[in-house]
Amino acid sequence: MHLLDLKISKIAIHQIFQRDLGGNKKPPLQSHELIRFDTTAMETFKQRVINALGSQSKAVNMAIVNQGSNDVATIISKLNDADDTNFLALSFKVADKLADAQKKKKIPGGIVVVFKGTFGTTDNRKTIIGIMKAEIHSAYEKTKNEITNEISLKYVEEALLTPSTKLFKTAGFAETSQIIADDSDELNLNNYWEVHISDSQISQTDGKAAAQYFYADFLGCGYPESSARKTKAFYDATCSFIDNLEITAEKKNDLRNTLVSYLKLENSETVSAIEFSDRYFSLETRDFYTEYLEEQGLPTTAFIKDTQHIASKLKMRKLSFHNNIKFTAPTDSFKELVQIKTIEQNEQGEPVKWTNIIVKDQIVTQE
Amino acid sequence: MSKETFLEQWLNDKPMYEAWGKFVTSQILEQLVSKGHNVSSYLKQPAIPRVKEENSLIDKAFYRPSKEYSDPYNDIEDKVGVRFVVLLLEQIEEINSIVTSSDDWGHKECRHFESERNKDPLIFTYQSVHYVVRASRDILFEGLLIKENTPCEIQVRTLLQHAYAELTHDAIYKAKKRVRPKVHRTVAKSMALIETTDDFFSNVYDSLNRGHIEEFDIERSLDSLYEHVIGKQPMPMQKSALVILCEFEDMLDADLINRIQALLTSNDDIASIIKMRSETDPFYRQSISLFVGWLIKRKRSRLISDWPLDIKIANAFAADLSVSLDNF
Repeated sequence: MHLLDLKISKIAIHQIFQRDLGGNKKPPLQSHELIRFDTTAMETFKQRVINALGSQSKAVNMAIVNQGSNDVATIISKLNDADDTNFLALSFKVADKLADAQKKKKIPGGIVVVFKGTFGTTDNRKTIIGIMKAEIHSAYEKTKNEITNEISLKYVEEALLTPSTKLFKTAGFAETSQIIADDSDELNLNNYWEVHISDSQISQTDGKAAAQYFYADFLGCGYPESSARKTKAFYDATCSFIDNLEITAEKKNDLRNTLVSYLKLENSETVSAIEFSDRYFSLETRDFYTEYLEEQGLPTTAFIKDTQHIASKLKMRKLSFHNNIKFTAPTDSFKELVQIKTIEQNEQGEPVKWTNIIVKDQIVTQE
Repeated sequence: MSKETFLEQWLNDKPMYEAWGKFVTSQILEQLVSKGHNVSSYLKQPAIPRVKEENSLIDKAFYRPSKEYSDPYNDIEDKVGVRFVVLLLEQIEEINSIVTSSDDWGHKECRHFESERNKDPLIFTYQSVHYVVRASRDILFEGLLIKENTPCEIQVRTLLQHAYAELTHDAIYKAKKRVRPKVHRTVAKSMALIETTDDFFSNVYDSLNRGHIEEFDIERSLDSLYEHVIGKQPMPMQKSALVILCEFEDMLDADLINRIQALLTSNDDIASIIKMRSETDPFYRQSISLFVGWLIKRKRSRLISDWPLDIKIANAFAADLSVSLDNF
């Protein structure tokens, strides 16, 4: 999400705990003061938020599903207008709801950070309410003996939000830039808030966009309907980007195969252009790719994968030549059994643009 | 011409020669300044015109065994002379072009080490450029009339060539006794070394000054873009800014400024953040901030992989622009 010039005004924290052996919830610990960070600490906190939710981050757009009076999205709306005391009380309700949602015994406790901030241009500031669940881990702090100048390590039993451990989940509820008119009488919070969720603990191979207990049970969010459209747009744009690269036909073919595998075979519920390009494009190409996507108006943040509009394209690979020559094969066999090479010279040494296709199999029938 | 008449005419003409030497020197220095050089660092010793001592003049005209002048007074062209000592061979060429393009005098190239090298490629000896310039008309300077055709010798050399000349001039050239071959050989070896070193110096200077930053005039273009977009004059780029440009030198080309400008036009985030931060942070008062903003928005992967300074600087800017620099 685009949080230009983010300024954080309120931060409240509460502690939640892992369930006991019997699976019972241990009541969260409430704090009664807002956190007052100094400039450096605030700057660092802001960078954590942007790294989790900003553009080209792993955060995915989600839709608000549960909007009852007691649901998190509704509490978020209330937090927007709350004074300091109410902010502390309401944010504790949020923490309590997370503790409720953590039904599995193995889910660790942690600190729930609820913050409010503004972003945007000077004449058009919008509000963001954010929630972070940061797991507590142990760490070491470097110390230095003032007299001997010797350095040493001090054990810190409870540390959180260290960037490299990535033990946190973040959700941002940003005020939408335009309130979308809705005919229905019912209040739809999706018209007021744009939600992005980022879970640094979800590995790419894991499949999910975020832990289910976090995005669904706790935040009451679900996958947005626009996913199929976005997935198709991503596929189309990436194909045309690959086609326009100045590389050999073999390389283009490899990248096409890779794209199909990325969308079809990978056990992931999200699509991320940044992730795709980091894995398969060279360093120089990556930045041109993101620029290309932006020019096409496509998101460079992650989104939920839905391949229904491109199912047929993912099933069959097709090569077309002039003179109505076509070559098709199921994507899996194409990747395994078909090899493409460009021929740049004929036997006489004259420049040509021919294609050599090797099928590692025999012809079964001919028509 | 007898020694007496010679000396009499010299004493009479000496102030005019002094004035001519001063005039020539001041003209050349003026040109160097107008080309943007700081003369006191450009010249490795002050260029001060000197007229010849009487004794040395008489000696040269009447006693020096190798010289035979038919008209010694006019044939001796170095009655006044000035020397320009610079660091690099390129700078010799720059001074040469000033000398040879003046309207105030006509020039004659008496020595040039390049042509001497071509003539005797196997010899390593004294190298310098010598010109004799003669006033192209009567010139009035500091209340004195300098007659047309008055000569002045100009020597131009590198600091190393000068060191060679300093060593050999008295010890060898004017040696009272025969110099042993071994000494000649050692001196020739030094000159070979000096010529090599001068070439290396030029190479170094070349590689330091012929990068993309200079070729595409990036510093000045970014500065003027900054002034145009941010509405105030940028602070001169600091060393750290140049470190950034050097790191991403391969991205600097003729089109870069257009691309940055296009980004700034389509999206004013970068400009508004720079305007805001420049109140308190000197980094944003330099035009490098425009380039870094462009890197964050357009070349994020390169930035993450190659950022040469403390990553905090990039992190803070990226956070303001809402770009995640987290690696996947």
